[in-house]
Amino acid sequence: MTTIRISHWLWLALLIAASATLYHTSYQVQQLEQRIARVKAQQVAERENIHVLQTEWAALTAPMRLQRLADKYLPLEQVKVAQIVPEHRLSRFLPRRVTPDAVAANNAASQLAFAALRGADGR
Amino acid sequence: MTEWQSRPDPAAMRQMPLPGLLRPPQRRVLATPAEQALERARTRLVFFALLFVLVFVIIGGRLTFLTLFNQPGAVESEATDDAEPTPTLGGMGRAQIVDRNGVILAASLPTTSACANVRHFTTPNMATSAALAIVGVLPELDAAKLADNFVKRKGCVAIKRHLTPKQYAALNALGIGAIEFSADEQRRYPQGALFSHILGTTDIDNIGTNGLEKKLDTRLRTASAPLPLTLDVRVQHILHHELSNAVKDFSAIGGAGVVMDVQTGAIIALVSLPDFEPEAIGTAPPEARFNRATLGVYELGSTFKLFTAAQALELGTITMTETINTVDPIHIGRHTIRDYHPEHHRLTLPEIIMVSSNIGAARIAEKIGATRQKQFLDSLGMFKPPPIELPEVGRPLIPDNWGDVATMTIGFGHGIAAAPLQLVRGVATLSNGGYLIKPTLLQDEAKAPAPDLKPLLSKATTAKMRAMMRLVVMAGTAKTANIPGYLVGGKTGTAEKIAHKHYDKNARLSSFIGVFPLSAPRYVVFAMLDEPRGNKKTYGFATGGWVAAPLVGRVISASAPLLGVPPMDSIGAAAADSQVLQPLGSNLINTLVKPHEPPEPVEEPEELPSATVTEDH
Repeated sequence: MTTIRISHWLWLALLIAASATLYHTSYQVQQLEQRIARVKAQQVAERENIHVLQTEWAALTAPMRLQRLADKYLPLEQVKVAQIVPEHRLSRFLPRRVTPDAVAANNAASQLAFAALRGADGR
Repeated sequence: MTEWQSRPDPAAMRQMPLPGLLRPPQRRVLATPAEQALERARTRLVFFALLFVLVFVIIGGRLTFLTLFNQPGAVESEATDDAEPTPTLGGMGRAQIVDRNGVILAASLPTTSACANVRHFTTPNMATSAALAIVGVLPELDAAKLADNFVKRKGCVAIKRHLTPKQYAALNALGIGAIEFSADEQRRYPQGALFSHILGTTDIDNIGTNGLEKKLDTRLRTASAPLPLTLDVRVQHILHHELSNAVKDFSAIGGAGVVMDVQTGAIIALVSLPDFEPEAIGTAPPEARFNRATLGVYELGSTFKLFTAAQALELGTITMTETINTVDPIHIGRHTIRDYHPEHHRLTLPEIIMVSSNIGAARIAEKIGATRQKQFLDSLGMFKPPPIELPEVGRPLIPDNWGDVATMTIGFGHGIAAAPLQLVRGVATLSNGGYLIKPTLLQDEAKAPAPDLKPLLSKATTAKMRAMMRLVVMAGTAKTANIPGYLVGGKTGTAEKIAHKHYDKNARLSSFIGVFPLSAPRYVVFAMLDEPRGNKKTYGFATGGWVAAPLVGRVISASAPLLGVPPMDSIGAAAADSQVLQPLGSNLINTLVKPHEPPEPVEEPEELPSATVTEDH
């Protein structure tokens, strides 16, 4: 009788443990699914926003609009064919290579100029 | 371990009274009422125990099933997992249209639409006051009409589709319970009028009504992936800009322009002027909605001489050096064929093309003959509407009676009317080695001619055609299109329009069709102005060479770098030129090209002053 009772208790405990685990897991899954649903809804909303913003960007960068604004505010002109240089001749039109010495010399020169300006102010 | 469970005698069990009401009263055989009551209680106990077990089994089973297999939301999430995340939304039914670089040309944006559920209006007064309040927010609506609709109609009566966010907020703030909002979508064209004739428009229910929106309505509604076109928004703008300036400068009634890849048929730009704002197509006049590049058919004039020349060369009817009498006008029937600028000596074929001699082209066409001319133009697709993905295509006008007169006039582009796009396709064939390609607006359709496609013309003929087209730009009627470094070639066309059954000298179609770079043709550029008037800058001239050729030159110089065609330096260009012109023969080159060529100093662009770059502090 006692052995039967002990095994009963054991089974009962196991049953409770198993169902507790099961329900805990199930609850967790439910929560995660809700989160997924939330994130997905957010994603849809974000995508919709991106979609709207992309269209707005296309409207803002429409060449017709840019041309109108450039004509109004910028002194730019159409690139002339002679201004287009093939790649192999590009080096002739590039600034000289930057060396650390050149940078240091430039810095020193600007510091001197700055100091001179300050001296002039102080007087 | 209750007593009744261990009852030993099965026979006695059979004697057990049936439970409850089922037991017939006459079979009551048990002794005492107490025994009877006890027996009844036992039976009921068993019955209820079984009932409880059953209910718990059901509940348990259902719980287990729900927990393990049928979680809420599981079905839904699986469904959405399968579907690839699309660039457009679930609600955004209609696919975007993008250009070759993915720039958005048409997109559907979410909007809100409002209707009023008239069940909420119990009295006509309520409906009227609601209508008044709504009109207070949306002044464009008519209060009386709205109230009338609320009273007469049933269900949810539409108030307005596609509310702006501000209108939506204001309408919502009215607090009228009857107003219901629903998610809607509306087609937007961020490039404005730039692509109006190509894209077309949709109606309020987002069904395509014209242009690509109509032709590809099913594709746009069923597949959500953006539809890539062959167009380039930048080149389209350049063409549109130059063409609208020219229409303004020369007070033309309209214009058309096309840029097409001669190898694949990909249309890079296609403009027809006047055009319209797609979002306000309702207010656009009919002439603004008319696509001159594909729907309009015109007698395109001298540009057709290229086809006459190509066929004559292909058939061997004429050689490059043979001369033809172009001095005397041709009198045939009631007609006289004259030249715009008569030359006083016999001309070779290249000269006929260079100075655009009608007499010369007519004489060559006469030699070809009606049957062969008809067959050749048919093979170039000139008898069918241009094959393009637009519903607005025009059927060409061909003479009913293709006699000698028709043959001669068609030789210089009169007597046959075709859409500009057909001319573009034909000239692409002359310059790409003789392959008749299919013009297309769809990126997926634009491909090089299939290897088994038979060219209509031999390599030798197309080389000669390229040489003559170059000659026209270097020394002929289209010198204004000569952009250094791009080896532009082409042919001008100035056709008088028919007014009151006669050709009108002042109502012209002035056009130029150019191809570049002629050393290895990539693109064909066409521009046409409808009824241009000469201005001071052109000394009153309004012919193709004066109005259309410089326009095409400007389009080429601005768009070639964007299309990946680098300019050749002067040395490279000179070498390429002599190669392109070679089929003319050294005699013609020396007499025609050299005298016009300015002494070209080999000039390097000035070197920029080199500067020392330092880091920003």
